[in-house]
Amino acid sequence: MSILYDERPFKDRVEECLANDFKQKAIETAQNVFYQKRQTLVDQVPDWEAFRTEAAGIRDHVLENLDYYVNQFAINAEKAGAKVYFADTDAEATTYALQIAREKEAKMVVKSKTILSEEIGLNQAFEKAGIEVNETDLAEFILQTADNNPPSHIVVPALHFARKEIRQIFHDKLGYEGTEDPEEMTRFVRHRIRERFLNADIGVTGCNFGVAESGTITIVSNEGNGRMASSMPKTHIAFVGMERLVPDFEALDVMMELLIRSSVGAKISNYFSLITGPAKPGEADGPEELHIIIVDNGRSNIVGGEFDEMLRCIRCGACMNICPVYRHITGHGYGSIYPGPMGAVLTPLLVGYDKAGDLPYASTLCGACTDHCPVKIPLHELLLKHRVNIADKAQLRPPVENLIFKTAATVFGNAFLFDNGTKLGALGMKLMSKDGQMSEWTKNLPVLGGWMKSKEMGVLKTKKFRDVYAEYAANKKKEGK
Amino acid sequence: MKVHFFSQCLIDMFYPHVGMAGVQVLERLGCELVVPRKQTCCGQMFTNSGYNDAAKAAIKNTIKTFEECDYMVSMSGSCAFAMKDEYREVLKDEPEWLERANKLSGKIYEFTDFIVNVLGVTDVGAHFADTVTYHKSCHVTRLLGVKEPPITLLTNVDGINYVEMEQADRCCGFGGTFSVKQPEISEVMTREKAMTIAATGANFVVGGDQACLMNIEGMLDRLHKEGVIDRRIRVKHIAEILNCR
Amino acid sequence: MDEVKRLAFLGRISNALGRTEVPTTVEAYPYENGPQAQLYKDATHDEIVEKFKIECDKVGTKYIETTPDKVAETILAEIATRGGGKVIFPKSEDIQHYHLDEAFASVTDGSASFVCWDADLGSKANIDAAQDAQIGITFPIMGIAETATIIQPSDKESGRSVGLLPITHIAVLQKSNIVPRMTQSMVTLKKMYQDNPADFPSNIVHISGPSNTADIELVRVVGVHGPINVTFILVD
Repeated sequence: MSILYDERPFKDRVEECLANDFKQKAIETAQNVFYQKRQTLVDQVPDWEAFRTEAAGIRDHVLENLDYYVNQFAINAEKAGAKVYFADTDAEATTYALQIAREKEAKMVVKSKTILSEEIGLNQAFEKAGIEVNETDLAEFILQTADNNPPSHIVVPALHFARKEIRQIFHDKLGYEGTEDPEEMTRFVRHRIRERFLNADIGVTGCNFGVAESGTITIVSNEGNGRMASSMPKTHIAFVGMERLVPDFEALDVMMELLIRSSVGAKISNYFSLITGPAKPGEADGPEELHIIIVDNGRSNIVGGEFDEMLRCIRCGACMNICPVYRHITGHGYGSIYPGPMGAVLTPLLVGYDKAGDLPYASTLCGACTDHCPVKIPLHELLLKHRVNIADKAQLRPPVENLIFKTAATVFGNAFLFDNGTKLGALGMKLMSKDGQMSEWTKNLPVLGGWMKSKEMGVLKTKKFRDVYAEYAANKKKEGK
Repeated sequence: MKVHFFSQCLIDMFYPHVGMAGVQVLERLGCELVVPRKQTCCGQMFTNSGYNDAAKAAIKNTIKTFEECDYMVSMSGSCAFAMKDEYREVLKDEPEWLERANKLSGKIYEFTDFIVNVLGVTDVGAHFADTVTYHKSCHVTRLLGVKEPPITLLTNVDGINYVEMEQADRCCGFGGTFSVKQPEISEVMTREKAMTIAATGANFVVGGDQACLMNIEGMLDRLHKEGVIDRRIRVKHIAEILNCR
Repeated sequence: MDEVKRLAFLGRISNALGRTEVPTTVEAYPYENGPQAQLYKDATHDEIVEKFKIECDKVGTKYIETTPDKVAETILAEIATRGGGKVIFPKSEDIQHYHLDEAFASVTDGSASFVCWDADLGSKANIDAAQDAQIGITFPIMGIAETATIIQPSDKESGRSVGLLPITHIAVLQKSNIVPRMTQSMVTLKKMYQDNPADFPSNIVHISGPSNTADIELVRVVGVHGPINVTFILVD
């Protein structure tokens, strides 16, 4: 299972992440930087909200006709000379890839960034078959070199590494003798990977948007590794999530208006490649063969269902850039290659509540993610839907919690019970307090202790607002107003 | 103008003086208040944890208690949102109740929204000479879309010095049951909010959601106790400021 | 493709959408109502070109304005500025059009040497030549003003490697081919495709500056896997 890389209990992951000051600071800084940059650009777009609505409309149009568009995409890609495969599952996707690799007697592969390939566990499958896999995106390269350290963000996955650490990793694993200067280290990586690009048997990429009208795959990149991986090796394998389609070229304009601004607060990515089929006969470079593997892996279960808006996602990362919970628990707190709000919605849909039922609760439902999502996915509402499924329908929450809520339900639904219940509560709190504030020892109590460990708390008043008001109203009446 | 007053269970139980401040502000603006004795709770603590079924008792009680009103003013933004919007999801399989919820929904207003957009008042004639900052709570700002009214009312208070905090609309970390279910995460978030407040130099932080304020107050008090914040920053519901003369 | 697989794969989706068959047509999405159609409606071409230059300045991409008769000397000057060395260029009509063949031949002091992308020589020879080169010259078909972007297809005459492998990329763009934003350029690309799908370039890359990354501590580093220097030559 390659979506979850850390299956320890949520609380354990959170404890570890909250204790890591550097990682938190790195994510906090990244969020602050992206926030400012994004906001500046959003303010400059005359009608940002109209673009969001348009993008959501385009994505919904595709999703409502997904069978038609997947079909068009596949047919047109084949017309352009690509070979198209339909992978129901992650295992099928890797099987196809291995087949192609075997046919080509491939020994070495270069990969441009594709989270989908992580979802299906491609690297492990290739390595098991004795094929060397080289990540070429700088962040992915760092993570791979660091013994496959898991990503902490979907757009800048190696944010949790300080330059000092990166230098150490490069030194220990690659014999790097230079300084920790980012530029120097980047040049080192350029030189090293350039050799891989030129000698790789296969280039593997993802696809940001598949264009149905022409069977074109598009790749967004800043570093140039997307261009290299799709141009130098003789064989190109592109993985496409089946929902990542747009109808035509016009749609790309709208999507690109939103994607990079939302993602890293820039107007455009440095490179935006449109790849239609393999190299044409006579061309001296470019792949001789283009293999497009369209992946389902659970997405068809989401189509047409109560979470189908989630399929609009264009993997920009805007939601995790603004999420105040992600800010502190960082990507690793989620234990999934899909972290943050989008991950908290998507991961349970792909791996089930048993394994990821904690993630929808890693949120205050503050709605900031929904506010920032370029395709207007109602993320906080979907998180709530998960909670209803988990608590109400499947009864998966701890029995004690169930009991507390069911009891409270009756009390809070009835004024008489509420009034008297809270009167008891007020007395109880009086016993646990001093001078109107809860006493320190209460931090050892269950439930309440969670609050008391870090915050002060006042006590329930024996005379409630409604009592005070009743007196006030009575007095007013007496005085004849 | 007859107005039904929804205090919020939290204000009812912990902060009666805040409720009274709201009453006095509205009466001064010419409203005739009805404060139903039978109100208990909007039910959001149930719905937000996914216990839709359990929420029904509180929700139906609220509908029954308030549905005859002309206007319903809520002292809490999060409750206003729950009652205006979330009820529909919970009651979607009970058409009769759904219709009653829909009817009530259009009559519900958050406190500052009501003053500015229904009463048409932007200056209530209050006086409060001190430096304050404002927590733009999630429900009021993003979910209800009430952005300007609280700031308008606050900055028009005579003598007030309003300093906006950095990313004032960032969640304070309360999240209802989140604060006791994920206390470790809540702590870090609330702490950051408290430090951001302290950085403004304000002596008061004002807000429209007592739950957030209770959360922030708890952290401010603890941080002051520990010597991390050098002064005691007090927490006020906007009704309390608007009630000062 | 595997027909059985295709039908089963699509069938699952159709099923989830509550239908038994994949539709043969779908009503097109109405883009004309979108906000993108409204932008730059009243801008003149001169304003568009100005915007392109302003955006270049904003992101730090070097550009040089010149006239058609001076393109050759501008290029030679830029080659010298970038340190000379081996220059690779495409076998396209633009070379003759701007008299670049003569200009290249005129460099005899060894400061720069010129090699042409010649598809007939096969892939290894050409890629090696591009890899050895310090400078690559290409002729993009369009420019996008809003983001200072050039649109570069590749084909038999002009391989992908020409503007990708060398450290410096010099792109020669006619000002008349600059459009306001991607809205307009996508319409052109769509038409190109519809007019002749079989000839639609296998690779079209939008280039908006030198390659860069901020993956290490969010520190921006210019020059990762693609060119480290980019110069746009804007021709009147």
